[in-house]
Amino acid sequence: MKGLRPSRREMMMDRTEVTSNPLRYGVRDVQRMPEPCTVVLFGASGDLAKRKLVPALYALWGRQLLPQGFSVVGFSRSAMSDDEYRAAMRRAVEEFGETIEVHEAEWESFAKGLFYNPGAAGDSAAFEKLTHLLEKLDAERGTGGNRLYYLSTPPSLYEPILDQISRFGLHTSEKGWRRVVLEKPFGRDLASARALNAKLALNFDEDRIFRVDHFLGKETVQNIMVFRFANGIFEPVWNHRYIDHIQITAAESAGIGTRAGYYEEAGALRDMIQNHVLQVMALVAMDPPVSLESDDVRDEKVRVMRAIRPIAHQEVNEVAVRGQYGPGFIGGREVPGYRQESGVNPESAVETYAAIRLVVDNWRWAGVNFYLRSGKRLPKRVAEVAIQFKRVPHLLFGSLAANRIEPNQLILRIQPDEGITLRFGAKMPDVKGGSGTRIRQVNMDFQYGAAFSVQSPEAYERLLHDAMLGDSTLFARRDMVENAWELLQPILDIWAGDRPDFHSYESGSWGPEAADHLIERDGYRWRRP
Amino acid sequence: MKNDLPIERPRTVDVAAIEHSINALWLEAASGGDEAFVRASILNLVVVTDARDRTAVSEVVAELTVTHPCRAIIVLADSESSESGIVAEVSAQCHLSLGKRKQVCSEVVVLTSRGSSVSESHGVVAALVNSDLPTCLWWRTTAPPDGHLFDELAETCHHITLDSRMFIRSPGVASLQALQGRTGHQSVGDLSWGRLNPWRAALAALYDVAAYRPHLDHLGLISIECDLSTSEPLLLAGWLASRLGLKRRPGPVTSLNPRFELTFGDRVADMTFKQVDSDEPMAGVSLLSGSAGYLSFAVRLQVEHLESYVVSGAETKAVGSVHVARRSEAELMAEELDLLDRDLAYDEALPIALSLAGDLPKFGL
Repeated sequence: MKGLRPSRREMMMDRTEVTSNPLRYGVRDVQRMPEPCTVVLFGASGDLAKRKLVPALYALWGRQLLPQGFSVVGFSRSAMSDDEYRAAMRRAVEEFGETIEVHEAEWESFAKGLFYNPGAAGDSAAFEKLTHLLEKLDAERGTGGNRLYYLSTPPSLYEPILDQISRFGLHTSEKGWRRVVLEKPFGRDLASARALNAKLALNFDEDRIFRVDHFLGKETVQNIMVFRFANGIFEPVWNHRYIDHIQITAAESAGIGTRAGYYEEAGALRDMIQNHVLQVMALVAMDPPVSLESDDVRDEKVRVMRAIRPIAHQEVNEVAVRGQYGPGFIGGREVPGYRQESGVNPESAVETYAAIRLVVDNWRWAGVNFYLRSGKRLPKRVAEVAIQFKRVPHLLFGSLAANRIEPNQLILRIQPDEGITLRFGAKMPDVKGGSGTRIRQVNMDFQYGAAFSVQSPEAYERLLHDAMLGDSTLFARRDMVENAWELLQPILDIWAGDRPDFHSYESGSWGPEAADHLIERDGYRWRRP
Repeated sequence: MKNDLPIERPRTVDVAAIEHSINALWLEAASGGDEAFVRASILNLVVVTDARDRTAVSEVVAELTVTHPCRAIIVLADSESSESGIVAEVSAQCHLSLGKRKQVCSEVVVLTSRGSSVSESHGVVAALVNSDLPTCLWWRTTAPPDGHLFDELAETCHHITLDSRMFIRSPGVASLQALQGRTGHQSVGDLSWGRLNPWRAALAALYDVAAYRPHLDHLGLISIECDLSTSEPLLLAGWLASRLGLKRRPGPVTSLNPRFELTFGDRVADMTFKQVDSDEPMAGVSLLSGSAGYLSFAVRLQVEHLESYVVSGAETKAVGSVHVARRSEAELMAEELDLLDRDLAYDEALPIALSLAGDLPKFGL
């Protein structure tokens, strides 16, 4: 992360890189180059692989961020030859690689490293073939036994895939490294998350397991750490003495689309709050790490999770609200309610909106409420952190009716309109004379689009590159995942009960009224981003 | 060049009141029309260029402000003019920010400086730079980077960018050498060095493969096919030598083509340059390993692609291809502005490059 002193590991890496390849030193934009490796892409013909993963890999190749000999083996049930797979991936890159231009010779050199191995998740014969193919690539392309197993499949296939990886000894080797990458959700509750982690731990050490939370790959989320720890002026006020409460919002205007099968098993709490929103909260609430080593950073995030006050079952209805979108209008267009969506049970009790109030019991945050909310079919797509500061201790100007002195706000906008806004009071010019001191709230804006008018790299480019480098800073660690489930488990338990209080909200509104009551009880209001 | 917004049209102003004129420009923009403007600046960019290059440099600056909103101060130097004086024009360069309807605007001040006034332009520039922001001096002129104007401007800036191509094969090379020695708090960047980045990346990538890495320790021959009127081949040679710890062994000229002996401990390697007819400064680089098991690594430019090869005996294996579009001056400069910092690899490579440049006349070049 720019602006921060390199960690000891980074400095050692630089020295190692100089020793191992002196020509690599100082090559612009390519300070860190992974070793040649093979990415085994399980779910190769699936949506994620086509829309995000292969375009990201091609983009990395084009930016010379991947080594010679880099290889990909696509693995899925579809029957395809190597050439058919290469052609399919080219079509995917052209269709979904928004900022990517495909150059013929460059594509040819990338495609030389693409291979395909058809098979189902539990198909031993297919895994035997895969084993031989990987050994062949080690010999012919110099991948050195380095393998990254990317499970871009439904979670139900994780277990059979991991079993086969273990069965064929693909998880271990005397030569090279073996890593596994998984997408969220990591389990659907505490018990299943622990079981999945235990399964992974049978064959992979924790430093070889990379749990993707693509929010962490976003430049603006990474900027939260830079903002806090590369600038000296914010840390002194980043605590309960000056901050009143914090709101974290991850809102979507879209509905569930074609993902009813997944969403009916998930809901907003599992889909967004358990991972993305709690990760952002951890970044906002954490103490400065001692270094940028991945475990030092993740240690601090886990400490936040452990300091969050547990929610007792009998408290759930006080601190958590859920809702489900009904019919309404988004962008002037009429949209159906959740229960009318294709593939959704007409009696479904799955929440498409969740809001919770959390308290962090530590010296920094004592008494500061954190309000987290996420929902679908809200008026706009926005993700932000709103830090509400306390009122001034004494209102010098408060006697004048024309003044509306409000507490300062610091808004970290994650998407869209990425940037940072500081809201403060300023004196209005006294143009008429005799009006006294009138104060209005004004915004001081930093906009990514104005200051850095370049397209940020796709989150998956950063995440894939980091996984190949073995840098797990931007990935969720086992204890973080389990702590997050442990925190939310009481809510899941109560909500799974016999259809307790259930609130619907009109599509295009900011959520159920009960969510407003949740925050208004404490004397606050939800921000309208 | 886009100049269709009122604030984008240059207007002549009193040199003594440039700052006031800029503020008036923004007030005028804010008060009229439906456009929403954002005045943005992340650095000061001071460009010194020859007066005849006004159009070209204005276009480059306009392109730069898209990615690097700034206060750009362009000094058009016309030292040959019999008149003296400085004429100032102010305008803005605006573009729509990513995905938004707002115009993000940079300020542009053009100072046309004639005759004896050229050397005194620094005073006007000093009054205009925003001291809260980093300042980059882009010495975009054929005049060597020395003299009163350069010295005064360099004192106020954090980073100096030039293009060594303009000086390395001319008497101006002495200025480059002097610049290397004098840089205190400033860093120096070179557009020719930026042009070389794809070559350096491609060569480095060859040796990322563990099996090939040991061959780097046993190089017997480094062969560069190039246009020796440019600085890129010499910088690349300097980079290879500095990164591999190779030092020039002094000795007499014994060949018609430029050939230098380099040593590291008891290792000896030859470095040769082969002049080729090419539109590009670099056509190819070959690194021949002298260890047992003859192996040659090469990078060649083939129609906007750098192709990498490993040659073993009679077998040539293509190991990589990277698209390398010719980058515009603005793109190269944008990369400089992203860095605005010392490039230690360049600092190490340049002295060797200058030493090689100094000896090229011995080969009749």
